[in-house]
Amino acid sequence: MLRLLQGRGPRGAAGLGATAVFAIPLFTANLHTRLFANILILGVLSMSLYITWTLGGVLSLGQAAFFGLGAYSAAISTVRLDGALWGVGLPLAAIAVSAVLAILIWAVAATTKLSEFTFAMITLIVVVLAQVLVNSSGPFGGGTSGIAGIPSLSIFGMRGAQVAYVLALAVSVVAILVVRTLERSALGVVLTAMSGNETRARVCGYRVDVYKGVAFAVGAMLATFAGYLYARQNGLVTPSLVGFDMSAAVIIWLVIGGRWSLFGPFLGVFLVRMFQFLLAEAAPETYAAITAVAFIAMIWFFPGGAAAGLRRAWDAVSTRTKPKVKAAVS
Amino acid sequence: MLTLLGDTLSSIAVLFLVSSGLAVIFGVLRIINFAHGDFVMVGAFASVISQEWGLGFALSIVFAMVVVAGLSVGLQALGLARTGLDMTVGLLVTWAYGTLIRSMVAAIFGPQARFADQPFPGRVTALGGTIPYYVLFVFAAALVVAAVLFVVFVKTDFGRRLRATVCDRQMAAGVGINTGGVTFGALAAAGALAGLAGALIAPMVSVNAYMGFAYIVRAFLVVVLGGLGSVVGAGGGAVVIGGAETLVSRAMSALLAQVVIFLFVAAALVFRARLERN
Repeated sequence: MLRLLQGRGPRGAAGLGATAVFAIPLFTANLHTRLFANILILGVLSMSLYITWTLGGVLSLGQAAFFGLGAYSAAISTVRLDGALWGVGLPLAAIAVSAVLAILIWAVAATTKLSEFTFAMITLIVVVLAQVLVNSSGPFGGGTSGIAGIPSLSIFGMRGAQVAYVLALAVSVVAILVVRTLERSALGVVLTAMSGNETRARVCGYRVDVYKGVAFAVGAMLATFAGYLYARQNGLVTPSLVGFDMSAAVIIWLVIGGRWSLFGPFLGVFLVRMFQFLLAEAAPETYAAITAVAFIAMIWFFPGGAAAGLRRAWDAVSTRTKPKVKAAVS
Repeated sequence: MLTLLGDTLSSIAVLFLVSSGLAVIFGVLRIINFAHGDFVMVGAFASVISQEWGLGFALSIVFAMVVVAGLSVGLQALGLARTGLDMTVGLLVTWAYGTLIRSMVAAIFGPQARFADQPFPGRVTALGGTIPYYVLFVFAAALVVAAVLFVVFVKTDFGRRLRATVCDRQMAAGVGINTGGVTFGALAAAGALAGLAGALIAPMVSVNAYMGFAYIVRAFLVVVLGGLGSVVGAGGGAVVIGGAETLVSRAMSALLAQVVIFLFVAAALVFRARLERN
């Protein structure tokens, strides 16, 4: 308690600093503002995997299928269909479909031995299937070229890169707060107990399978919502949003950012996207190879990812400013 | 009609060759080797490249098998065993290795597709259809591989040790089996199988660095259907998946074929679980 109070100084400064940092994209060129807005929305997508994998304890290889479902619901409801009813109804229906699909997938996987493996495989197949479906969807679904001309969301009639960024930032903050609340709720406590020792949680009478399914369904719904926002923000959906490559990217972001921290999902997207931005000139193979090596290194040597590294640095700084407290405690 | 039969046979043969290696690796390491599709790709590349060097077809197959067996053992040395028993981490690490292999092959050999020599030109024509001789050869090769695997597993000393290790690693080590050596041998064998699969596939497809993914997804389906770590299951699964996919995609559409297989596997999983419970 004492340490917490003493830590107020650097904490307050960090809060101010963070606010300033997050205001920067409002004043950059539109291109960069959009880049940061995208990073935030993709961070929300990673957050959906955080819910499924970190909280639920099952690795989904199919987040892109739900993301794509949301993105295509945005495209079809605005470009292909007319009317406010479709505009709101279809995305909501997409989110509901995601939840049902997620529960079905988990229900099949949970019946088997080695359910985690079966789950990974089924989600992999779903995402491959989703890609085939989108690619062969014909003129209505845009086929291989996708659907362009999706109108952006507006706040009080205002549109543009800055509006998109503010919206993305707001959604990200809400997502973090909601997941934080979820973690601290009764459900979150059970999920934490499960990830600590699954057998013990089961022996204590918790229906582990049901909780995992719920976590997966919540993650799927969030991924769908992120897909909807992403499409509205970029005005374009293509089959590359669906498919295994996208799912793999989500896993990479979360592992690199740190899958034990709420900020990890966002940090991961930020780091990978910035790296991609710097390497824009290099061949895609070089980029893929470096990412793969970084990914393996992260898994082996820094399972906590960048967020854990930052955390350690932060602890080092905040204790160094108060050496006496540290001495008193130890 | 005969053409359809030929396509089905080659699809089944290829699937069996790819998934049997996957099943062997899972058996000894309890790891789903996501890089297995890229192993197959490396096998295909090795055979094409060695043919460009002037090696004959038979030697190019041997070369591919040796290269991929080396790769498989080498990756193990690079720490596959280190991931221990965590299946999720194993999946991710092998997937990253696959990406690394893929990008290196693309960087070294370029993105363009390559084509292997056709070792047995000509085809059987009958009943209003054709089967290339090569497809018959691949199917026969798959049958031979299945027979050899069976004999090795059931009759030889190595096979007995391998099965003991798969069954219970600690127990096997306890009765004096060198489980490390068995693992080494199994990995080499799985790599050789992937290399063989790649070399046999090469004359039928365009060989490029990104060809592995299509095989790994279907091989996963096969092992999910056939039961993990079971080579016999891999054979049965290959017949069902390869057969159903080819038939449905020819009769109706490729999309429908994917959907049918997917539903089939889901139904089989639920059904098998119910069977096991009773």
